Parts: sequence; structure tokens; C-alpha cells
Amino acid sequence: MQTLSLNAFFNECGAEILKAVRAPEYILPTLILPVAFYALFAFAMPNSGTSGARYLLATYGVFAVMGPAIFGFGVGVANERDRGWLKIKRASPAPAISYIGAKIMVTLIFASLALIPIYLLAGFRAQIVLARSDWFLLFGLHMLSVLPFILIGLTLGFSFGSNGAVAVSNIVFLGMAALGGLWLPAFLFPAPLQKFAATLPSYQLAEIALAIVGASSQTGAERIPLQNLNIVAIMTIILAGLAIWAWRRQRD
Amino acid sequence: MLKKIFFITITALVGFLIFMLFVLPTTSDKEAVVFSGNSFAVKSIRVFDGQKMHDNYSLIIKDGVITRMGERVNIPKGLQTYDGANQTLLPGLLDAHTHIFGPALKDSLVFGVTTNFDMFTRAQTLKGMQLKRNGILETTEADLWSAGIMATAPGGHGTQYGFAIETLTRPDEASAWVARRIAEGSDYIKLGYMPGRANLNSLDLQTASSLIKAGHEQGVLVVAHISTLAAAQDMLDACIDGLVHIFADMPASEEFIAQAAAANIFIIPTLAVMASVAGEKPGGDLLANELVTPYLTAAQKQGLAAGFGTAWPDFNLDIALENTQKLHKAGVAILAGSDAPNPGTTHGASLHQEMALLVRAGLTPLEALNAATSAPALAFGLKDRGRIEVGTRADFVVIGGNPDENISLSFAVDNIFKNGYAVKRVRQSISNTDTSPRLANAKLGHFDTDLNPPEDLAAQGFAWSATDDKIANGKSEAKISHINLGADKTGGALRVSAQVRPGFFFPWAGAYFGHPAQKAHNIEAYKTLSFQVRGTPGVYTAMIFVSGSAGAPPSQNFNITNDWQTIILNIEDFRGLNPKLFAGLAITAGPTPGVFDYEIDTVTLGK
Repeated sequence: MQTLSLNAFFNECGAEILKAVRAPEYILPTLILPVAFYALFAFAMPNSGTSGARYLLATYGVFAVMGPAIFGFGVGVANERDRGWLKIKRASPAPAISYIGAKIMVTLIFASLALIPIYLLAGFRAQIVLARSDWFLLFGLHMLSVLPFILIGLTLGFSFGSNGAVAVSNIVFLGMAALGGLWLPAFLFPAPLQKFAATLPSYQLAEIALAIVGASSQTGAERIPLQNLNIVAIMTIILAGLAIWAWRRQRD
Repeated sequence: MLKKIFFITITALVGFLIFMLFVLPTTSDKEAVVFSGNSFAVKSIRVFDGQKMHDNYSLIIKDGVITRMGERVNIPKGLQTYDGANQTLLPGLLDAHTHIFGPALKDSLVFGVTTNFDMFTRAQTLKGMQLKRNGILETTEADLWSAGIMATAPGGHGTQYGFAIETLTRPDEASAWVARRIAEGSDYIKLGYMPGRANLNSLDLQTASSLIKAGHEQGVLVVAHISTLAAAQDMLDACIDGLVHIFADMPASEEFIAQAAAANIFIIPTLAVMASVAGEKPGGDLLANELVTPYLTAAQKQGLAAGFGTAWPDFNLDIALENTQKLHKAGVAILAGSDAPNPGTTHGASLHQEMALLVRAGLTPLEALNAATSAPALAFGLKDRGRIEVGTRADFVVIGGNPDENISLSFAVDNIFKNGYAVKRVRQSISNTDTSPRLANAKLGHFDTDLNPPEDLAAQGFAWSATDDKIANGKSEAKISHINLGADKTGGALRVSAQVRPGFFFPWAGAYFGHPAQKAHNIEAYKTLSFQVRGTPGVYTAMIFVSGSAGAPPSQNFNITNDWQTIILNIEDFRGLNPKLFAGLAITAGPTPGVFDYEIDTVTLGK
């Protein structure tokens, strides 16, 4: 049984990759958009400088992994559910976990593909310098950032039909990015919006990333990344509950 | 098959990721990353906190703000640390009287002036300055507070710069005028009050008083430009907050001094510009100072070499120094301000000179430092700068030596920090002036048959063309054409039709002889510039341009009449000109607006 489920998992992963390669129009925008935005805001804008590129490396890293996570799950799952593919899956001997697991693995692969060009630009074009351990830590954090967004994507995928999922995913994706301070620093927001930003996982993850790169905090307040991590953990648990609820609901 | 796809993908990807994370630049790869970011520590340094000196202090700066300081400060391991042995750390300097044009904010920062109080500039200069000075970001420019445009009467001081400003004549206009300045972003109001001057209009006392009242009602400071004791007394009676010059016509009376001290006003003597008016050539001292010259741009050097040229009525530098000293002794706050970029001064460097002049007036070096740091911050109500204490922003000038022993040591700037970021002081490249080619011909234009210069000059790339201030967003217009009858009757001349209109600070329109790429040519061999000219009577200007300079060019004025005459100008009277870098010259109408038609012939450089 164990070998069977592993085997199924590997095959599912391969199939997902093949799907992306054969229909690249789904995944390409989510890979290109973040690095294009990063290049625009970190280099093309006047007065950006190294400190700007450093700041944005942290936030655009989070932005980069959001795309594959929310769209891969939100739209992907909704599509497959619409076409009855999920029902077939449930009837097949492959366990549900290998289906979800493969989707997570492929999301991680695409998330890292979205991160690579941003890291290369930051390191070799903007000359951003970090301790080796901090580069690893930052990358680890950015990969970990996939988790809450996968859960959001899953919830959306289970809750909406394929057309609805596209629309809602977009709103959630853009909202998380803009209001979470991933495009422009949250300290530029008016005070009520800043408070709202703190309720978004994108903002909390960005704060941890900013602490790792040592970006200055414009409010003068000290960053306490452990606190942000706790908040993210709680958010993730809530989102997991939400995803399970949505999964149960769509099955009934 | 699917399994294989997955394994190949994952292996390649993980391999690349590990490779990438191992080649990204890291801290140990580079020496130069010391003082990246704006968090660091300073240890064992002499600190001037805005009032007093402290030996052997340490500071911790986090995100551009001082978080700890004192004799015993534990510096966390791993924090980049600046060792300040034998150095003095001053607050970033505040220049209490400047005018911001062009690269002024950049030039300021190069000499550790991290904050400028502008006393009259165009309203559009104010855009975005508030956002910038509130942030703690990396920057190459000083922060700016500004009066915006100044309050003056039609035809008064401030209207001669060629751009239209909103003037006022009646007291009942004051309140709305002040409100419009505040809406434009002015931080305080500056008015010009110079009654009784023969050829200069001024606000009358009622209007000036109403402006002061309106400013106070609307919550801003009001400062005044005055030049006499009588005018200063009027302003004091009208509850002015500060005077932006010291008066130099007569010694301050006992009553004035007592009243000024009791009213708690501040005075910005601007002794550097006073010394320039007095013909002391303070700019020449800066140009001779080898701690200064490597960091001056070509435009700054030109400004420093310039002078006012004319003697001013009611002006005596000794009286200015004496008044400064007396008012200081009586407890009136004295603020250091350079009035740059007036002739003989420049942004940044001149503020150091102002401190030295304040010491000459009788202040101690510490009092002079105070006048350029905490005193202006206090006078203008800024809490985040001008002092070194926990919570202020990390704007620092690090001086090699102790300026308390000798104020002129302040020129020995070792390091500058703005918002906690180290400022790179760029040495201006000394252009390879000896290699520039000689100008091929001394006859720049005879216009016998057309407007072309002699062939050898044309081969060097020189040509005659029209020039006007449109290139500086002005509104003047010039056209040139060839006419057949010139001064010598044997050949033609160049005709200029010029319309000089307000719109730029120094409006101009005329004829230009120059190299399109501004390539430098050597005219050291020549002593004079001469040309024949006639046309609309009036005052005209000859300017010489040098390669790589963006500032106001050195110039001389001359008169034109209806009859042909030969004008001969000495090259050395083009103050600040480097004859090795000649790139062109212009013969123009302006800055007085009007329509001018004039003809030029036989433009020649003479030995």
C-alpha cells in the first residue's frame, strides 16, 4: 500500500508537470509577472537604490509564490471539479493525499521557478549582499510562504465553479499583494489601511522576510519576526480548517 | 514515464537552487559592504551634541535613528562599527538661509549640510520635499524646508529674477496671500521690507505687519529681509519671528538689542554674503582651500569666483560683525546661514565659512557650531535633527580633529551620514585641461557673406546660432539672420531679433557662438573679446560658456546704442572663467524684458 501511494504520488507529480509544459499559458503569467514587477519597481523607478531593491526582494519574494499557490489550487481544483475529474479520482485506488500532495509539490516547484529570477536580479544586478545563512533562510521562508496561500487556493477551488474561481482568485491575489504591502511598502499606507494590512498573511510573511534581509522599519518600531511567525501559524491553522470545511461541503 | 519526468525536474531544480544560493553575493565576499544599510555603531568618538562636547562617546544607530548613546554603551556583536578615534561627530549641519536651485541640495550634502532652510525659491521646488524629509531613506540630497516665494511689492526685491511672483500692495491682501503660500507647501513666510530705497519698491509697514499677523494666525513663522536698523526696528515692533540678515548700516541701538532679546527673535546674519558684498572675496578663500576645492563642481567654482560688482549703500561689514556680536551677547539666537548661491557663496562649503565668520564676530567655536545645528532646529521647531541624542535621526558630519580648538577644522570632513546611510563624497574629476585644443582662429565671426564662422573654426565644429531661455523652460525668443550691410560697410553682419519675456530667473535671448557638444577649447592666449554692435538701446550681456558646466555662466554687461560701436571686454573680467575650457559665448539681451533688435559684426578675440 505504501509503495502504491508513493508511486501514485510520483506519477501525479509528473502528470502535473507535463500538464504545465503542454499548456504553459496557465502557469507562465504567474512566473513572469513577479519578476517583471520587481524589475520595474526596484530598478526602473527613480531613486530606488540598493535599499529599495533590498526591501522589495523581501516583499516580491512573497508575491512570487502567491501566484502559483492561489491560481494552481484555486483555478486548478475548481476546473477539475467542474469536469468531474475529482469524482473519478475519488473512485480510483490512488489516495486523495497523493492528489493533494502532488499539487503541493508542483506548486513548490513553480514557486521556486518564480523566485529564481528575482533572486538573481537582486544578487547580481542590485548587488544585494546577505550572509549565506540569510540567503538560505530567506529562500526557505519564501517557499514556506506557499502554505497559507495553498490553503486559500484550496478553499476557493472547493467553493467556486471554474469561472467563479478565476474571478475570486484574482481578487484575493491582487488584494493580498497590494494591501499586504508587497508592491509598495505598507508604511506608506494611511493608518487604517496599515491596521488592515496586519490581518493578511501576505503582510505577516513579508515582515519576516524584511527582518531577514535587515530592511529598515520606517515606523521606527522594531521588527519581532517570531511574533509574525506565530501569527502566520495561527492564520495557517484557521485556513486549514477552512479548507477542510470547504472540502467536506463540496463532497456532500 | 510520468515518474521520470518528475524525478528529472526535481533533481535539476534542486541542484540549480543550491547552486544559486551558493553563488549569491554574501557579506564575506566584499569589503565595501561595511556600512551598508543604516544601522551601525560608532565607538570612541568626540561628540558635539548641539550644545556641548563629550569625549569618548559611543552611539548605536538603528534604521537611521540614534537608539543609544553615552560613555558606556555595549555594542552588540556583529553590528558594523565605526571607530571614531581622534574624530569629532557633529549633527548634520543646518543652513538657515539658502536659495534652492539646480543641484543645490546635492551640493549641500557633500559638505555635511543635511538640512536647508530656503528663503525664496519657485513654488514648484517645494513639491515632494515634505514626503522626503519625513522619511528615513537613502538619499544623495539634503532635506528642505522652504518659504516658497517671498512677499514683496510689485517691482520690489525678489521680482528681479525674471519669473513672475505674486506680489501684494495692501494689508487686506495679506491673509489670502499667506494662505496660498501655505497651500503651495511653504513652511514659513518670508517678506522683504526695505522701505526708502531709491530704485526699489517695498512692502509698506502696514502690509508687512498684516503679513506677520496673518502668518501667526495661520500657524507659521514669519521672517523678514531687512537691510537697515530702522527697518529691523519696524519689524521687531510688528512681532517678527526672525530676521534673515543682520543690518549693516549703523550699530544696533541699546533699545533694539534689549527689545530683540526680550521678544525672543532669531537673527541669521549671513556674514558670508556680507563679506562678499564688502569685496572680501570669501569665495576666493574657499577656492584656495584644498579641503574644499576637490568637492566643488565647476558651476560652484564659478559662483564662488563671482562678486557683486557694485558697492551697496548703507553697508559696512565691520558694523555687521559688531551687531552680530552685540545681539549674541544679549542672548538673541544667532543662526548660521550662507545665503548661497549669491555671488561669492555656494551651497555646503559656505556654511562652514559662515561658522568661521561667526567666530570672527565674537562667538566661540562651540557657539558657532550651535548656530549651525541645534539653534536653527530650535528656531524652526524641528525635533528630529540638529542635536545628537536618542531619538534624533542619524544625520552626522564626522570631522578629522576638534573644531572646538579651531573652527576652520570643520572643513576637514571625513565622513557624512544622512538618515544613517554613509554619503559618498565624490571628488570632482579634474578635467584634463591641458589637452584641450586651441581655438583655431581668433576671428569668431565677420559675417561678410553668411553667418558661418571662418572655415578652420567651422572644422572644429563651431557655429553661430540663436539662443534663448526656452532651453531652461523660459519664454524668451531669439532669431538670427544675416544682413548685407555691416559695420565695416564692406560685408554683412549678424542680426538678432530678441523678445525677452519673464519666465526664467535670468531671462535671455540672443546669438550664440559655440560647439554643439560643448567640447573644451583653449583660449588662454587671448586677453580680450571685442565686437561691433548697434541696435535697440539698452543693457546687454556677454556670457562665456565652459565645457561641462551647468551653472550660471560668467558674464559682463555692456550698453548698445543706435550707432555702431566697438565693445572690448577683458577676458579676465569674466569672473570664474577657466580659459582652458572655452566652449562658446553668447551676446544676449536680458534680463530686462522687452523687444530688442541688434546687429553684431567682427567678433574677435584679441591678445
